[in-house]
Amino acid sequence: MVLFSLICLFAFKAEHTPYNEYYQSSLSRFSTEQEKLLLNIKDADLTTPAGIGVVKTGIKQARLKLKAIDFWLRYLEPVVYKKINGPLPVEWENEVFEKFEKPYKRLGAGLSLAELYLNNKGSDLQKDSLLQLIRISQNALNTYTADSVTSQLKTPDHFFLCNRLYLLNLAAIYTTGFECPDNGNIIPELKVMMQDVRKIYASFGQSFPGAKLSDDYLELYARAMTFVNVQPDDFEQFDHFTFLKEYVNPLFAINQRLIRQYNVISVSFNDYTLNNSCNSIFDKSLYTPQNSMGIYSLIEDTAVLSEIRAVGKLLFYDPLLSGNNSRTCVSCHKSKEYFTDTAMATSFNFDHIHFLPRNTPSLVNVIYNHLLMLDGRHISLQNQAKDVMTNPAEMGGKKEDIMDKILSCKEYKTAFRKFLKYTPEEKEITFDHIASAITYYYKDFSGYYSPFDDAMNQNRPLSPDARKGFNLFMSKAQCATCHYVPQFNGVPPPYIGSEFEVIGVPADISYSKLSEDSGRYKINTAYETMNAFRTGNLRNLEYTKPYMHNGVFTTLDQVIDFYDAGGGTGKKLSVPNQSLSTDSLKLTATEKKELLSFLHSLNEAVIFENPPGSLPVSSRKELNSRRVGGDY
Amino acid sequence: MRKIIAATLVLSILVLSRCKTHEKVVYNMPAGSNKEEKKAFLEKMAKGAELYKANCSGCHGIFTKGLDSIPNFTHEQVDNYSSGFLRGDQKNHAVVIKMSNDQFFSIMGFLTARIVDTTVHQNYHPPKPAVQFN
Repeated sequence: MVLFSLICLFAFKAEHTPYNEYYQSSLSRFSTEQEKLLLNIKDADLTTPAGIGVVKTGIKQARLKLKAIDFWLRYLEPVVYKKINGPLPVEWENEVFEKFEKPYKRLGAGLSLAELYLNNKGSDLQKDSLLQLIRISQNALNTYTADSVTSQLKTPDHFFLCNRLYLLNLAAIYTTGFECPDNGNIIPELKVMMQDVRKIYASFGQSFPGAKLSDDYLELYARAMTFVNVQPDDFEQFDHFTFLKEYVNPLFAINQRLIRQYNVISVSFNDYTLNNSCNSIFDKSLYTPQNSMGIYSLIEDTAVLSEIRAVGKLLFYDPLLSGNNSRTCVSCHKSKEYFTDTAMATSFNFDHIHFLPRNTPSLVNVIYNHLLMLDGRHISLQNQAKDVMTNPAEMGGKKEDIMDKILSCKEYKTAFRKFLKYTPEEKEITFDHIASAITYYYKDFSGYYSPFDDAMNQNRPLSPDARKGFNLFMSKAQCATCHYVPQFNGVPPPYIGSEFEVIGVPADISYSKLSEDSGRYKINTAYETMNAFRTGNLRNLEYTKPYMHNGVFTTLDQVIDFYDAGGGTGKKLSVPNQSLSTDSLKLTATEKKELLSFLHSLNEAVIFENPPGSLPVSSRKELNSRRVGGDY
Repeated sequence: MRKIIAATLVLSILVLSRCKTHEKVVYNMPAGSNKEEKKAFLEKMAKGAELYKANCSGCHGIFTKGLDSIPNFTHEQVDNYSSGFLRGDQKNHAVVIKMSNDQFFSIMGFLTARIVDTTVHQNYHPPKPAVQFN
């Protein structure tokens, strides 16, 4: 009996910590707002502006209560969260896990979509559709009271991981309007959210005195709140740069320290790419990039690795990888041009007469994409390399033929025989040995930093124009809703998936028609993916012209004008599924100049290498007339 | 001294007999495979086995229960371990040694397709194929 009561006592205790109670009560406060909103919609006369106004106010109230629990919701069940406050009605594959599966469809619902529906539907407004969006979000909220979720609240580990995602979202999403259709609410919501999260911190501190947030964290967080509270409510006037540099990034560093100190273990599929030893959002070790080592992944011997790199470099410049012994990787990925081709919109076809359909992407920072090629057709760097070598339109080689030619060179053969010893699972030299050496070589060029990174990481000064440009980038120019901090590519926190967007790129500079390239649709035939391309990385933009998937724009001014006009639709092209806002950004000439100044601050101090002086000698004499880097 | 020699002899016979059974590993081959597919499948299995020997059998090897010196992992174990690998669990050995996806799934494929003598391991239920090869 005594034992029984003791068990009851402990069970009771575990369920009723201040932290758990605060979680439950915050959830029910949001639930109440959802219920109120439903009643609001039922009663409202949606044919009048006043009726719509009442519903909008209800959405606004509900959003504030949602922001109070966003901290938990986004981390604990990210997929369900899309039903509560999804940014898009339909989303296709996001997480890298799904690389192992076919893309699948996710339907969004909730507050943001309800608000967009109200804004965009005009006279077609259907009350039932609106009610449905909220009902789905009501049902979704039940997930968060399930044992599988609440059991995680019993130990402190999840808290620091939720907090890490919260801080990353503060850096990349919460201040940009990513899931907030009414720009006027972004900063007011932020102010409320930061206060509510402090209440979460307080209740956590009471319940887990052994794993507290440190004093330096809480003190800095309080200062961050003070900073935000005196900032203007207009997100265009908000100082994003200072907020990120002085507050969010240092808070992230402390939270990372605490994750290590308390030996926090994640059981989530949500943050597996995040690196616990990284101390800055702008450190390139923030998330695990593509595996550049491929078949050599298990090798630790640095001497062997540098030999592999050296062989990879030779292969990168060696025309033996092509069908006609005239083309190389460097034919398109020019080593002195940030591994892209700045002279041509799209490179030559293998036949040296026609042109390829797409612009050559720079290999610098390509490893930070989870899906490769502009349509995301590959999941590993090695498969991408193999595809290009054997693609009849690109390098036109055949696997066996390439292998024979490479192994006819004594230098390669000796090297690969040595590497074979380090890959005991393979009985002979494979195509993977070749592809992996190449990817291992070029990954080094992604390890450099820009003046903007130096400002964030090392407190180096950044020009006032670049700072203003960054603030525009994060707000009025709406760049950061797709090009996420810190890589400024299409990988949003928690950095596990690559995104695709439909922006309506024209076929030519006169905007006579839309580019006919169907993009992601080639891989996943869905309405939403027609003409969609993987969001580009904005680093080194100044040196990686021309721009867009077809290289249609040769200057950044043209690119900015395109976005300023509202993409393809804004330029009067028919792009029914455009995911970019079709409204004009109304940027002034000065603002465009500042934006450019920020973009230039993302130029990395990459140190490029000279090509090899010569290539390995082949036993087949006819192959020895080949040239380093090929002919075209 | 004789005792030592005898013991060594018995031990080597034991070890040798284990090695012998190891060569006879049979696999649960996908139904309806043609000759080439079978060959490719067996190559993948051999690759998985080699990687297992090099990276796992140090701990999960000869001193554990399996007759062919590789333990009989259950479906749940293979699944959990794969999930740990995918979410980057820092306690997962394959994550620690930075194994590539290809290498990891070769091993899991091998462990999944391998048929174990269930007359010896009566409580053993072979894992259902959970891992798809690309």
